[in-house]
Amino acid sequence: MNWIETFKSALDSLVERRTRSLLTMLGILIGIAAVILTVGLGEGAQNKVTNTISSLGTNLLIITPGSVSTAGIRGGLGSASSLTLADANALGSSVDCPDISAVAPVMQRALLLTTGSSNWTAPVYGTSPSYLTIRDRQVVSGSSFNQNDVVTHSDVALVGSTVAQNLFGASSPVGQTMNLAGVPFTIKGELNTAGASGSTSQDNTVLIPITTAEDLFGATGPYANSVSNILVSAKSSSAMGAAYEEANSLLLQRHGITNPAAADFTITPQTSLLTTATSVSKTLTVLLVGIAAIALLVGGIGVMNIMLVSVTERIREIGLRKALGATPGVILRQFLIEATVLGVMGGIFGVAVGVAGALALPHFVSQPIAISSLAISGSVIVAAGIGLIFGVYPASRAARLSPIDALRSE
Amino acid sequence: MTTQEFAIPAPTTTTPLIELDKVSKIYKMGEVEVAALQEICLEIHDGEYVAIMGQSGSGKSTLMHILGCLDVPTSGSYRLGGADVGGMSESELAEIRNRKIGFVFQQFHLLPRLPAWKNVELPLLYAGEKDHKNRRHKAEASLASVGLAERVNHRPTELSGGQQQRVAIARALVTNPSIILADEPTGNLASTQADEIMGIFEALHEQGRTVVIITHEPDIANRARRLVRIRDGHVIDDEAMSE
Repeated sequence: MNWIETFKSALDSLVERRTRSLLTMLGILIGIAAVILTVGLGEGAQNKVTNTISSLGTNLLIITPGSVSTAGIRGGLGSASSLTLADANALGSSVDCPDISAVAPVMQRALLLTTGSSNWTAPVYGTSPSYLTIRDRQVVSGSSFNQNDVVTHSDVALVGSTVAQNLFGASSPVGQTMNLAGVPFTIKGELNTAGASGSTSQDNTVLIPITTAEDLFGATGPYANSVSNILVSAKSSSAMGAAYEEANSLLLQRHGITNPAAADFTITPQTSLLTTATSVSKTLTVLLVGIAAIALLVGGIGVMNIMLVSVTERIREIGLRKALGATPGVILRQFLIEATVLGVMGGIFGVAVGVAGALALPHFVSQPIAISSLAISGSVIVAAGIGLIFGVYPASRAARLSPIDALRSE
Repeated sequence: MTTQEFAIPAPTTTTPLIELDKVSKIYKMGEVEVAALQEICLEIHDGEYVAIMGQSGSGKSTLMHILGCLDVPTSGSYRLGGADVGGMSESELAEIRNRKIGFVFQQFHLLPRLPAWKNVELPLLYAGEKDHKNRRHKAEASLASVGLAERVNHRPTELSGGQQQRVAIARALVTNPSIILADEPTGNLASTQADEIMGIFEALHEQGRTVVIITHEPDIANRARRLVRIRDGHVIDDEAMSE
């Protein structure tokens, strides 16, 4: 009896007991649909987090000043003014730090912005033109300030969309003038809309050349030339580690610190955020898939149960088939195929229900859901495997039946 | 224990089709051993029409199982068409059953959801007959040979008992086996239908087929050409019958 005939015969026998077959498939169906939905939800959440974090800039290291200890009293992180423009310039050296592609020192103050008719308060960042590259921001109208503006301490600014709207309404801010702490600045360009990163709106922002910021913020005394943080971009994501090491050792050396544990600065790779966030959503996905796997296991036991019932019920049929020349192998194959078909059909219906659910879900809850082709193809294979594995025991029982005992049973 | 030898009536060929030599079958029921067959010696030649008769518990069913390769002897040898059946694997036995033996059972043993022709087709499937049209053609021809040409698409439930048994005979014939082995073939039938079925067996014998009928009914047994009586696991009598 060839495979096609065996398959047909298995299919016939499932159709004969269609109610029971459908109920058995239901177990697998629910398990597979659960896998598709949970993996989809997990992936959706992960994609959302990844997109949010990578919108902050890729391959990014953020160097912040550490704490200072004065007479045994330790200030918090950032209380030191240990990072300077000179540090930033040194990090930009391609000799000392070959794996660093761009450096942007940042000085930050919240300032009142005024025009003739309105005012608004926003964080003002003094930085270099490479800030835009590092943070993955674009100038959508007008142009960016350049290195020449930095050298000449130009009073020019770039504004985010929130600032532009609050100061100038619908009209273009480019070419307009606004006052920062009484100093008139010409707006050279408007930044693209980037949305919020965490609780901070990236659109409520003003960028000015760092030299201008030094003059404006009046940094004298202990804070002279100190920066709020330094953004460093590694050449590639694989160079993140090397860039970290280069920045770390250069700054330790420049600050005359021999014990790395006593460093007066902190380097935070953006990827560590990404890793943390991703690992959280991965844990969640694993948990959900675990639950779905239990559902599948239960479905598989359902298949085994029904196949065992089927073997008992068809004991005379098995005996007859054996008397007519069916070898144990043929009987084994027939029952394995029946169990596998139950699994596969359950899997296919489960995928249909899962995908339909994934398509419908966004209409009811604001949770992103991804339809993962890996989950779909994997599910059907797993469902077939469940049918096959849980079919082995009933099928081998059928194959081992003695034809006489099987024929005799009433 | 004595071995009983009987003269074989008029052997038609030199090598017997069935050759049982001191075949015993012992069942173990817990600690107790029950000998269902004790050193049976029996030869059946090609073209014979034999009835094996015995009361219930005589061992005739066990003998039928061994003849049909559904079971193997505990000791002794069974040669079927010259080949020793002892020591064959289950798969090899299945192939022997498929190619050499056509079974007819008391309870018909038809698959209720399949139409007649599909029931008759089953042995061809296990024989590896690949061509679907050829299988159907053979099944229909076999049904026609037992007078059921008009019933090929009927399910067993739509047929009378006699018709069902004829489907079973068609199924037994479809692979053109060496032996037709019938176990109480009329046990579930009314007498007119039983007559019909016995008529078919007689016709098969006249066509030169080897027919072995196991029965407890003397009326049925007396229609065969040779009668083998079994009691307590022994052959007690083996005689040729007049037509």
